[in-house]
Amino acid sequence: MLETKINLKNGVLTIQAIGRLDGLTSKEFIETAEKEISQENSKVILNLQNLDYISSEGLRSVLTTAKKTKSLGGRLILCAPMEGVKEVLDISGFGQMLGVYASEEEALKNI
Amino acid sequence: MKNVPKKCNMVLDKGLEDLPLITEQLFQFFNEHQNLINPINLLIEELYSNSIYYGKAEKLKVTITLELNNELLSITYKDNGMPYDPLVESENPNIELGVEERQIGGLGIHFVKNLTDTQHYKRDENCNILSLKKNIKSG
Repeated sequence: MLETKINLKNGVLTIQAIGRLDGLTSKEFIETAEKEISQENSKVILNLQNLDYISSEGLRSVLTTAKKTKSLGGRLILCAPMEGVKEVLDISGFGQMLGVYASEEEALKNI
Repeated sequence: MKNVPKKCNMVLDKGLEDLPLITEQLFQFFNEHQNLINPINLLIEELYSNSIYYGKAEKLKVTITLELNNELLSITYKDNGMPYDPLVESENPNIELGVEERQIGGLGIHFVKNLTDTQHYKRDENCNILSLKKNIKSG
């Protein structure tokens, strides 16, 4: 199960992913994210503070979304992952590739 | 006090719809080792996705056995897909590429190798059998 909360503030789109980003929910995540991202809103912070679990299918959906922001001149960065999710980001190299910040405030300063 | 070995079997044949069932069973099995729930869930999802997407079985059936004996966790993953040794045939993904060049292929097995200590594959009775072992800290 996955829930997303979207917030747009000062041209930065914050997406909070809550629950599980896996083979069952990754498609839904891409659809939700792509609806929100546009030329004007292509700076995205993905807040992971309430994400319990991510698999490679979940990472694939994050990558698809990140590529979309990049193609529109923006970017996608990550913040506040829990320990287990952080480990997956480390092993996959995704953390290093996208940038992981400790909190949403930190991410906002760096986007 | 010596721990009593603990064992659990899962049979999967419904595709991705089985994912919540896997998680539920892992929560029960690892009630005393909650830190293992996510990593083991991850490696099972990765292997199962490979079986679903690439196994080409007419009617896929996957059997997973988990056995916890003191500090050793043994996982046996068996599927009836076409012969495939993920340990040999997968290339390590390049995890240093940027967003534009980055691909996802091979990441699943990369996780499996990272999250376990030993991996062994054999083909037996028309099934792929992957045996994984992981040393866990007690407590």
